[in-house]
Parts: sequence; C-alpha cells; structure tokens
Amino acid sequence: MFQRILLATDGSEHAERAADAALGLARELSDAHVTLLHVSSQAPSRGQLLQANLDIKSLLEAEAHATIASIESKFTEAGLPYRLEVALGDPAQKIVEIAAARGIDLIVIGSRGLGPVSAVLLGSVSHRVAHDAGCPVMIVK
Amino acid sequence: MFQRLKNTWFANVRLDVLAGMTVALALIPEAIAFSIIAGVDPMVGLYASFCIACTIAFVGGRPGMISAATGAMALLMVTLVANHGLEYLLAATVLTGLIQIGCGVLKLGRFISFVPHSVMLGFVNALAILIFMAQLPYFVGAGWLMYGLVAATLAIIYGLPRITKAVPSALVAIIAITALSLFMGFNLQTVGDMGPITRAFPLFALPNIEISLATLMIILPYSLTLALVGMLESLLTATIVDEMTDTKSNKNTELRGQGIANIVSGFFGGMAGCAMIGQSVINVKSGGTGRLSALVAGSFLMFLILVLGDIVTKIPMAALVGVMIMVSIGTFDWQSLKDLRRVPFADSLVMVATVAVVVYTHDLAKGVGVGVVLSAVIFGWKMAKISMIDELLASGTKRYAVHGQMFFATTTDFAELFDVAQDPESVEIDFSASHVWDHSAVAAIARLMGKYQQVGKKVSIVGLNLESQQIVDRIGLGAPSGH
Ligand SMILES: Nc1ncnc2c1ncn2[C@@H]1O[C@H](COP(=O)(O)OP(=O)(O)OP(=O)(O)O)[C@@H](O)[C@H]1O
Ligand SMILES: [Mg+2]
Repeated sequence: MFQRILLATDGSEHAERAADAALGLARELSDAHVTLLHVSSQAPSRGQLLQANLDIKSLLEAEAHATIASIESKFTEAGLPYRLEVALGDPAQKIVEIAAARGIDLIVIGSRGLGPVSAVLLGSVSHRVAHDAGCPVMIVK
Repeated sequence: MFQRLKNTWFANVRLDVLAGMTVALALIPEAIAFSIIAGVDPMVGLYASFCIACTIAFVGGRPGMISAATGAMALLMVTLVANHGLEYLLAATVLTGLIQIGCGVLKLGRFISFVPHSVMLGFVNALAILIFMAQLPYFVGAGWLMYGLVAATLAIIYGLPRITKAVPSALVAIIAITALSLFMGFNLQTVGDMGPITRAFPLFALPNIEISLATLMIILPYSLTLALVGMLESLLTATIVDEMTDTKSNKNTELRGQGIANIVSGFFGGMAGCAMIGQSVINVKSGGTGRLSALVAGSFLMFLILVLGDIVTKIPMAALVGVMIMVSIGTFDWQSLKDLRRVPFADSLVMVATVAVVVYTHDLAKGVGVGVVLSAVIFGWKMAKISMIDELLASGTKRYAVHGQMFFATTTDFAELFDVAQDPESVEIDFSASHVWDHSAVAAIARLMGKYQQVGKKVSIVGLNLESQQIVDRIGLGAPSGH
C-alpha cells in the first residue's frame, strides 16, 4: 500500500532517524520505492548561478548531496534504490507540492529539524506538512 | 483566448493580491532610497517602480517576477545625473529600453553568460560596497541619535524574523522608527528633505533634451551598461523564480518586456529599473505566482503614495539608511569571499581588481571594463602557453605530443620545442591535445616539416581534430609559405 515513499530530510539528526524508519519500511515492503527530498530555502548567490551557467538544478543537487550524504550512503549500503529530488522555496510547501505531483503514498519526516532547540514538540515544517499533505504522513521522533 | 487570459491572470487571485500588496510595502522604501542614491527626487524612483512593475505584468516573460527601480541600476546613473541632470537620465532610460527590446528580439539573452564570472562577481560585490558607502554621508556630523536609530532599525530588521515571518521586517522597522521619531518629536533629516513626494499620478512627457548626435554620445554608454546589467539581473532572477515555481519562462520575451517597461518608465518620469531578486523571492514565497501579483504590487504602491504621501515624507533618513545597509549586506556575495582561496588565483585577481576599481572610481562601468580586459589578457596568456611531451617509441620513431593551442601567438614557442638535428630518422607529431586555429599555425607546422625534410628525416602528423584537419587541408602543408 505504501509503494512510493517520500523521505524529506534537512540533514538533521531527526531527519536521520526518519531515514532509518523509511529504510526499515522500504525493506519490509517488497515493491516500495523511496524518493529523497531536500528543499533549499535560500536561493543560490549570483556568483554561484553564473559559475553554474544558470543551471540552478545542479547547484541545488550539489547542496543536497553535501547535506544528506550520510543518508544517501545508508541507502546505497542497504542496496535500496532511491531517487533524489531537490527544490527551492518554502520547505513545507514544496514537500506537500512534490508529494502531490509525484503521487506519493507516504511522507516520512522528522519531528524536528535544524531549527533552534525549544520546548516545541513539532517543528514548523513537520507541523505544516502533517496539516497540508494529501497523503499519510509519518513523523519520526 | 478567454480561457488563456483567465489562466495567466486569474488562476491565483487571492494569493497574487496578498503577495503583491506585501511586495508594494517593501518596494516603497527601496524606491525612495535608490532615487536618493541616483541623485534624483524620490518620485523618480517611485514612478519608475509603479510603471515598471505594472508594465512588466502585461509584457514580461516570467509571471511572478517583480521588477522595479533597483540599486544596481541606480548606481550606474549617478554620474549621468550629476553631470547632465534628470532629463538626460529619462532619455537614457528610454534608450536602455530600446536596446533591451533589440536584444530580446534578436534572442541575445544567452550571450549574457559570456561576461566572465569573476567580473560579474566583482561587479555585484562592488555594488554592495557602493550602496553601503552611499549611506556614510548621513553619518557625517550626525549625533548619537542617528547612530541609535540606524542600529534600532537593523535590530528590528534582523531580529523580527526570529519571532515572526508573517510581516516584512524592514517595513515594521520603518513604521516603528517613524512612529517613534514623530512621537518623540525628534528633529531629524527625513525623506521630505530629500525632495517632494507628489501625490499625483505620473504624466506622460518626452524627455526635455536636444535630439542630436552629441546627446546620443552622452547617454549611449550609460544606456548600454544599464541595458546589460538590467538584462543580467533579470535573467538571474527569472532562473530563480523558474526553479521556485517549477515552471519555465521565456527569457527573450522577458528581455523585450524589460525594454518596454523601461521605455514606459522613461516617458513617465521614471528611472531605469530591472528585476529584483529579493522582492521576487518575497513575492513567490508569499504565494504570488501570476501576472496579477506584479500588477497589484505596482498599483498598490501608487495607491499608498497617493493616500499616504504625507506620512512618507516623515520617514527619518535613519530608518532608510538602516534598510539600505541591509540591502547592501544582502547584495554582497559572501560565498565569494569564502571561495577566494579555492578558485584559481587569476579569477580571484579579476574579482578583486573589479571591486577595487569600482570602489576607487565610483564608476561601475569602469570596473567592469577593467575586469573584462584583465580577464581577456589572462585568458590570452593562458592560451599562449604551449608545451611538448616527447618520447622515443619502440620502433625508433620519436613522438612529440603537443599540448596547448596552435595560433599566431604560440608558433614561435612551438618551433623552438623541436630538436631537428638530434632527432632520429622518423618523427611523429601528435596534435590530439591541441587545436590548430589559423594560418600562422599551419605555416609554422609546414616550416617545421620543411626543416626535417631538408635533413632527410621523415615527419608524420597525427591526431588532428576535425576542425584542425579542415584548416590544415584548406591552407595545405605542401610548400612552406613565405613568412
Ligand atoms: N529544507 C528541508 N528539506 C527537506 N525536509 C525538511 C526540510 N526542513 C525540514 N524538513 C523535514 O522536516 C522535519 C522537521 O523539521 P522542522 O524544520 O519542522 O523542525 P525545526 O527545524 O526544528 O523547526 P523550525 O524549522 O520550525 O525552526 C525534519 O526532520 C525533516 O524531515
Ligand atoms: Mg527547520
């Protein structure tokens, strides 16, 4: 039933735990396929854009590889194929949009991320994704 | 037709209107500050922002992108305004638009990336430094109150987003500081001291200049740089908005649209402008993705000026200086400082030289000129290096592998790298890591072969790529040419 799993990660420890959960889930389900998603909220600088010859995707991909390298290698070691998606904009909004566009069956995210530690239980991204997503959302503590 | 109109304009009405209004609020202080930087009345920037934002809504190629008066463009006009006055600026603005339309129609957009990256980086950083330096005169002879209010403005601008991102922090800072200064009755320099705020729509007028070749020669250099910078900023911004909205845009339509918008601006008393990265990001993040958002941004700005013009004149310069310091910090490419040691030395040199020339001469065009020339020289110097790796093959043949470009500047070095007298009977020259560009190169190869043949040694040429082979065939290696 959860064929297409979207794992949203910002490179935080929480997201790392979410990755472990997604990994376990994908192993159990024989035909599951995982998409890793990293959203950059800061547009690349003019210099970076020019250097990349206006190929903004390649810059976002480079940023994604740099922040979520450990999760990528986890999947590679486990022999699970995955797809990497990148986006630019508001993380929650993009996660929801991409999940809808790709026909995702389950979104896996961490309960908190890189934001300043506080008493709040849920980060703003996980909160809004849980609220706005059109599919089940698994929030990993 | 009707359906298409609906899709491009009214697919997203509620969010477009809200985002457009947010952007309008942020545009007002910037338009005023950029006018002051350019040395013209605040109305010139406000009218420009109104005209450009509204025109682009109709003729632009990138819905959701916001264009208006910008700091980059304002700084390019400073000397024109200082030496020749406002009317020449309006004429230059119209000419800028014509050039941009030409570039859009001829589809020249993609050639923008031919300007060396390090020059562009230097340009951007110099821009940030100049915006910052333009704020310094306000501190001369100013009391602690000025420093205090600027610091308070910056504190709100950078502090507020930690608490809430719902309202634009620069706007809150301006309102708070203005309210404070009105309430306390501070006697401070205000926007009103910089020139009048006219609570009226802009009027159509032809720039009041003599139409002559002399006039053209005065404004053309400014218009060319304005057109170039405007197009670059607009392409960069369009790329970012494309990615944020996951849609494609027509870059050449956008260039043409920028041109039309500048022409309209010039005829309605506004200065040249271009796309704004910061405002466009705000717009898209607030949900504005349609053409309507730019139209609302422009018209709401005009509405606010018509209604609140008097309050605007009361904004203390301290608040505006704070906002401009934020703009300069946001414009500076901090990444490039981190990269200084990582990128090739020559690139860093070009970047730093561009910045240095701009900051020294206060002329962005001069800096870009120096940067481009320096890049060209460095490029030529790199190109003019040629080297050889030779090895003795088992068959007794000596093989020379040429590394580098073969053209007029490298032919002398090329000839000196061979040892005709000592070489064995058979020699092979491998050009697979080289490229033969011109007549001088072919002639040099022919001369060298002639020398080997004179002493009865056999020379063969291998590894020419297709283009090199073609030029060699056309000119021929047979008889060494005269020179
Ligand atoms: N930029 C992002 N790209 C992809 N996934 C993200 C991104 N930001 C957050 N997430 C996902 O959302 C989870 C929760 O992060 P969130 O940002 O909500 O918490 P936070 O950073 O602690 O709080 P806040 O951002 O509100 O300060 C993360 O563990 C991650 O799975
Ligand atoms: Mg976060």
